[in-house]
Amino acid sequence: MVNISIVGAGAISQEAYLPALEEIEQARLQYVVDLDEERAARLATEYGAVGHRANYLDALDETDAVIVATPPGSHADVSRACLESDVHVFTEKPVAVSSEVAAELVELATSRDRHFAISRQYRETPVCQLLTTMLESEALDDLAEFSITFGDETHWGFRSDYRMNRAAAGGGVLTDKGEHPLDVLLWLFGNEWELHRYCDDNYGGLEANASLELAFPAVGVNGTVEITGTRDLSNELVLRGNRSRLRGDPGGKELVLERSDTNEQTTIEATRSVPNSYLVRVGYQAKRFIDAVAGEEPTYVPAASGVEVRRLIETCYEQRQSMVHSWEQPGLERATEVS
Amino acid sequence: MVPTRVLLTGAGGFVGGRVAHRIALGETEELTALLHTPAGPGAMRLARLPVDIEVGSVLDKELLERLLADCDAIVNCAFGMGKTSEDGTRTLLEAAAAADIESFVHLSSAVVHGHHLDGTLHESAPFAPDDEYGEWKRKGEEVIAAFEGGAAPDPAIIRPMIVYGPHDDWVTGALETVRTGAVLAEGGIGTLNQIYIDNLVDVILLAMREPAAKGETFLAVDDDHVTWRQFYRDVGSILAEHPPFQELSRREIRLRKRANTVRDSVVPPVKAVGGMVTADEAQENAVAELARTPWAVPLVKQVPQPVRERLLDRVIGDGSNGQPVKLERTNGSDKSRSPQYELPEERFVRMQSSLGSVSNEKSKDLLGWEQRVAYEKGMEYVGKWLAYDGRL
Repeated sequence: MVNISIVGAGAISQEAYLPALEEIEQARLQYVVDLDEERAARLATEYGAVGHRANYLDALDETDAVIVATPPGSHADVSRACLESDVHVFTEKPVAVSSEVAAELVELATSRDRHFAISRQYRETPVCQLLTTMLESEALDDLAEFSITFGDETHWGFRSDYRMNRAAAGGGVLTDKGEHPLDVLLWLFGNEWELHRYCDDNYGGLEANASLELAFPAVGVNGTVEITGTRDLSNELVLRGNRSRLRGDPGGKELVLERSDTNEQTTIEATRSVPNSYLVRVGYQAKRFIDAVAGEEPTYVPAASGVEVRRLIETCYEQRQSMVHSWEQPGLERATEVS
Repeated sequence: MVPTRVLLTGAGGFVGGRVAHRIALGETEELTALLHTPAGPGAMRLARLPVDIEVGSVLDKELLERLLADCDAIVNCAFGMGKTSEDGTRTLLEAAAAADIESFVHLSSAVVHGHHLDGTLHESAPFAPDDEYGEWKRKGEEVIAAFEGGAAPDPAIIRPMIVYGPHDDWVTGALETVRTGAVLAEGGIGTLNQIYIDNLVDVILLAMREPAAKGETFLAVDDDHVTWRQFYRDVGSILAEHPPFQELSRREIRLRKRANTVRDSVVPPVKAVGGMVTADEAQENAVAELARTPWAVPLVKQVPQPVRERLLDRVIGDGSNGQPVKLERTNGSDKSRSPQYELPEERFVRMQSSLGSVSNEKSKDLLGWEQRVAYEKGMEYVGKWLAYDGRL
C-alpha cells in the first residue's frame, strides 16, 4: 500500500486526482495539503484522508509519495523538499519553470533512488498511442510536415487566481497548455529540435496565443504549432507526407488517412475500449506512478522528459517575436514601450 | 485632469477588456483591473497586459477600499443581470466616496430609453426600458442619482446603444443569425445606432479626464449612419455563403410567434395522445408528456373524435407539418443544413424597425469626442478577427 498525499487541492486535484485515488487499489490517501486549510480539511473528509495540512512539509513523514498539483511556479520547491525527504514525486506539468532546475531535480531523484514522474495525459490518448505505433513501425515513411492547433477558451474551474500572476503561473498559454502538444511532438520525433520562429501576443504579462515553427532534423520533419487560450479552435494534429495526410484530434480516438492522389479517406480507429476523457487519462497516469512506487515495473512518464520540453519553451520565450493584430492597434498611437 | 491610477471593473468583459488594453498600452495612467473570474478568454486576454489584476467582486467593499487606496479614478464596466449590478454600483460608490475618488465613469446603455426610438434621442429623454437588461441598467443609474454618500464622486454616465467590434457578442450573434438564416423585421430599415469599440473607449477616457463631465450623461454613437440591413449584409459578406435574408413586417413576426406558441404548447400533448392511439410502445412517452402538460389533458379530451383525428394527422407525421415559414433553399451554401430562419427577439424587432437615431452632440461638444474608426474600417477589423478566431 502506498501512502500518498496530494499537495495542492485546486481544480485538477478535485476533478481528477482525488477521485482517481479512490479507484487505485494500492493507494491510501494520507494528507490533502493546501494553503486554503478549510478546503484541505473539507476534501480530506470527503475523500477519507488520514488528515489535512496547510504546509506540505508537515505531511512528509507519513507519506511515501506525493502528487504535486500546486501552481506551476511552486512545483520545483515542493518537489525538491519531497525528494530530499525521500518521498517519491508525481508532478503536474511543468517539472519546473526553469529547465536547469528541472534537470537538477531529476538528478536529485536519481541520487535518492526515488520515482519522479510527470503527468502527461495525452500519452494515454488512443490517437497519440496509435501515432507512436505507426511511426515505430515506419508506416509513415514519407512523413515531411506536421501541424498542430491546440487549446480552447480556457473555461476551466480555477480555484485560485494563480493564472493571472506570472510568478505563480510560470508563463502564459505556452507554459499552461503548450506543454501538451510539445511533449507529444518530442515523444513522436525525438529530442533533437530546432526552433525557427516563435511569436506570441504577450504585452508584458502572460501570452494568450502562441505560434511556433519547429523542425526535427534527425527525422527530417518540420512544421507549425499554434496554441490558444482564447479561441475555440478544433484541436488537430496533421502529419503530411508526399502521398498522404494523417489527421486527428490528439485527445481523440481516431485518425483519418487521406490520400493525396485520390482524396480517398480512411478512418483508423483505435480499438482500446477504455473511456477517453481527460480525467480518466490523468487518473491512469497517477496509477502508473503509484504502481511503480508499490514495486511494479515503471510505466509512467519520467520527469526527465519534461526537462527537454521546458528547454524548448524557454528557447521560445528567449526568441519571441510579437504577434500583432491589426484590430488591436487603434488608439495606441501613444503606446509606451513594452518589454 | 489626468488620473494617476484607474480602477477598472468588469475588466474581463468586452468593453472593460478593451479599456484595459488601451489604458495599459496607449495611455499614461496606471491600471488596476478587477474581474470576477480568472477563467475564460476575457481573463486570458487581460492577463497579457502589464497591469495589476485582482479577481473579486464589486460587492466586496473591503476589497474595493483596499484597491481604491491607490487610485484616483474609476471606470465601472461591471455588470450582471440582477441585483448584483444595482448593489455593486452602490458598493462601488460608497467605496469611491470613502477614497475621495476624483473621477468616476459608469457604463450604462441607451436601452434605458427602450429599443424603439422615435426621432433623435437626446440624453434628457425619459427612461423607458422595455426589457430586463434595460431595467437593470436603469436601476444602476438610479442608484447613482440617489447616492448621497458624503464626498460623492458624481459619476459621468455613458450610454451606448450597439457596441460592435472584435470579441463582441453582438457580432458573433449576428454572424450565427446570418449563417443560419436571418429574418429582418421591416426589412431591417431601422438605424443600427452603432459605435465601434475603440470609439466608445475614446468617450470613456475623455469623460474620465474631463472635469466638466462629472455628473453628466453622454449618449455614445458613431457618426456613420448604418441600417440593420446593411449591417447584416456586411456580416454576410464576411461569410463565404449564407441563406438569403427573409424580410417580415412586425405584424407578420407577431402572428408567427403566436402560431409557434400555440404549436409548441399544444403539439406535445396532442402528439402524446396520438402516440397513445397509434403505437403501444409510445404510450409510456405519451403519458409522460401529458403529465408535463396537465392543463392540456381536459382540453384534448373535449375535442370531438373526428376533429381530434384530423388534428393528429396534421401534427403527427414526419414533423414538417405546421411549419409556419416556407423556407427557401440557400444560394448554394451549406446543403447539409437547412436554414433555420429563427424569428428575431422582440428587442431586435424594435431596433430593426426603428428609424430613430441617437445623438452624439453632447459627447462632441463637452468632451471633444471625434469618431476615430469609421464603420468600414470597423467591419474590416471584425472580419479579420472572426477569421483569426476560427469562426468562419
